[in-house]
Amino acid sequence: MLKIRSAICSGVLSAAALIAAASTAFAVELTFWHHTYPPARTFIEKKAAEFTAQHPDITIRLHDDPHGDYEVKLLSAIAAGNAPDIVNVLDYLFPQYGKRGILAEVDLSAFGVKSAAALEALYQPKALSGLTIDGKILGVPEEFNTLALFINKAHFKEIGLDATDPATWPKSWNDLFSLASKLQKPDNSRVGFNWVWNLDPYWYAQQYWPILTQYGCEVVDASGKAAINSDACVKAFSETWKVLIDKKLGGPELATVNPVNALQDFSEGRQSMAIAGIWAPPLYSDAVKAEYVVAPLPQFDPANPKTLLNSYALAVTAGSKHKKEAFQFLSFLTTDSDGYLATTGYVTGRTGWADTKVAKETRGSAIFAEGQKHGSFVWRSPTWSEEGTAIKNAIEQFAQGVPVKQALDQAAADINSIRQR
Amino acid sequence: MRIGFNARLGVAGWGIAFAVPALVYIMLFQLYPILFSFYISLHDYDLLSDPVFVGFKHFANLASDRAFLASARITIFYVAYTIGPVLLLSFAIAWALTRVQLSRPYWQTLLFIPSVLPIVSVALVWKLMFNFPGPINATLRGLGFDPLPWLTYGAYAPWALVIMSWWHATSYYMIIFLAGFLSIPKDYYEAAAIDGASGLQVLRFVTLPAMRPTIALVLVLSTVNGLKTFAFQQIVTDGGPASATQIMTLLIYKTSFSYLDMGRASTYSVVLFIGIFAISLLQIWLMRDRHD
Repeated sequence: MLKIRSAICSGVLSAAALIAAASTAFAVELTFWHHTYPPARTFIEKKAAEFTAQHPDITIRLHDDPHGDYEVKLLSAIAAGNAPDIVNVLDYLFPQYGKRGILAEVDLSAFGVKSAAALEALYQPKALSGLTIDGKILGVPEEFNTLALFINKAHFKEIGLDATDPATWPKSWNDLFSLASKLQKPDNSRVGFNWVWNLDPYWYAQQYWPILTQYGCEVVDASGKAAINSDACVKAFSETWKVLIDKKLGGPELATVNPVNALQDFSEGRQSMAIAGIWAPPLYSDAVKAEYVVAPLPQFDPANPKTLLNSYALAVTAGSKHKKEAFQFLSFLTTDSDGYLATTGYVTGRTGWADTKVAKETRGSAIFAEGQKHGSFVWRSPTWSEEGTAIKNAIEQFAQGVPVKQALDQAAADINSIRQR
Repeated sequence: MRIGFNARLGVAGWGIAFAVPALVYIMLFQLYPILFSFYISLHDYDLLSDPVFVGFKHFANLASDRAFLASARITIFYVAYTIGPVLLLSFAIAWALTRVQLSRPYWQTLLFIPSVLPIVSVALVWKLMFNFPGPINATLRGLGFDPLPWLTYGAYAPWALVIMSWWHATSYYMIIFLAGFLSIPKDYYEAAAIDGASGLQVLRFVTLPAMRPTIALVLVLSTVNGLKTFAFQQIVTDGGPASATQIMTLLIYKTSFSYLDMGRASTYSVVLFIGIFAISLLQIWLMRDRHD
């Protein structure tokens, strides 16, 4: 009897050990690297817990670092062969990463579709175009953004305007500068409008790209040669960026530089109008949160509007051993557009995102949705960071008094030299 | 005899045992990266693909590399305008401290504080101070001058960084000079006083000759540290405006990690290394004691 009991006990224990060993062998831990944005972390962790509840054998380990440090750390990890499974990558880096085979092609089955066209149909038009390299879709948007004009209505009220009335919104860049002049305080304790200065090249690009497209300016022409010093580009910068400086309405010395909050002056009520995305309001002070109004981006030709598209996307690395599970999680995560918008302010770019109750309750969502229709991604290049730096340098040159044409000639020479190299 | 023989063996054995960890550390973390930099400078390498041998291509391109030439000029400007004032200030403050009889340790501690503060915090505070609406411009206004765009104009930003470095580096070299001053035998000064030497003569014929090795050390250290500086430029201006403060180390960092051009970045590193090595040797040779 004792022997039988012992045998049963040993059998049960062995079976339990086998089951435990088997479940350990099949358990998958996905590593997910993201740039630091506390609301996103909260949301992703919540969704990861839900996903694990549905798939007990898959867990997600989230790691974040501030933007800038994040990209450097990610590259080092990839170079060392320790790439995470899921990564968060800005769209302008896709050509660079795609060329080097860092990212895996999206697994269509994880998104419940059978073709790339069907996947594209799940998203707003063009949402995946910035993430497609050589015909391969390498990621999906976590954020699919465009920019609009934020106005402080209390400041408008001081000059006798009702910012909630679209008739008061600046339609052209000239309208914007004219309003900025009225809103500026003589001691510069408040400016009407300013660009974001002294941050990374992509911050500059987000602001000048819509203007360049509105003026018909191309950074590089069809043959791949720099065209940033063309007449159209010189005109674009001269009639927008330079005007603000020449009229002493704004400029680098009137801007507070804060890499963590590029919109600090608007956020704290020292600036009346700012160009920003739908993600910006969580950064605003409570007083400004209560007062902001969203208006469309000013245009060179209001009848033919042009805006920016950008995407902080999610992708799976080519070296991941768990691509299938990683894409399953990405599909699960990005399907919750409302959750993303409500918790983080991110627009995932899924079709119909602007029609939901949550979106309708989000100030300015209709304007952002309209802006997405007229947008384009910044130029694609595997050497974008260096080319973007050349244009940033040109802007900072003419902000110091160098003629616009001369500064852009230098940028063009630099871009050609980078491309030749 | 047997005990002595064993003891000699034991000393040698222990010596090697103690030296090995340090040697391994130096080989792994100092010598290997230096040699690897030389190797990579002869290749095209983007961190993510295998290196491709290109010979001396990157070195040949240096003469026409605008970013490199500008960066070299900015680095030389920064070092040249930092070393002189820092040497003079730290020398003068250290000398003044030797005259202080009352509470000297407290003054030493107080004056050494800038060196022990985390450089990131120091850089951020200076950034706020040099901001256009910051306290430095407020002081200028108060004195009846126009405020200056310290960090946003290429004409001023390099100077703002030089001024920060004066403040930060002086305290460090002051301590070295102070140690030098305190090591000069008092007899020299007593003999000079008996001979009726004036203050200037004491400085010229007693203090400066006795301080020559310390001055040489500070000169070499401040030049090497100046050429290797990174944190102020990265945190305060990130090399801007329009690359006006992009010193060599920052260019190397951006070329490596933003532009993924490790071959070119390693070439810059090799040139900087050779430059630092040559300048250090030259300074040591110039400051050598010719009586030896």
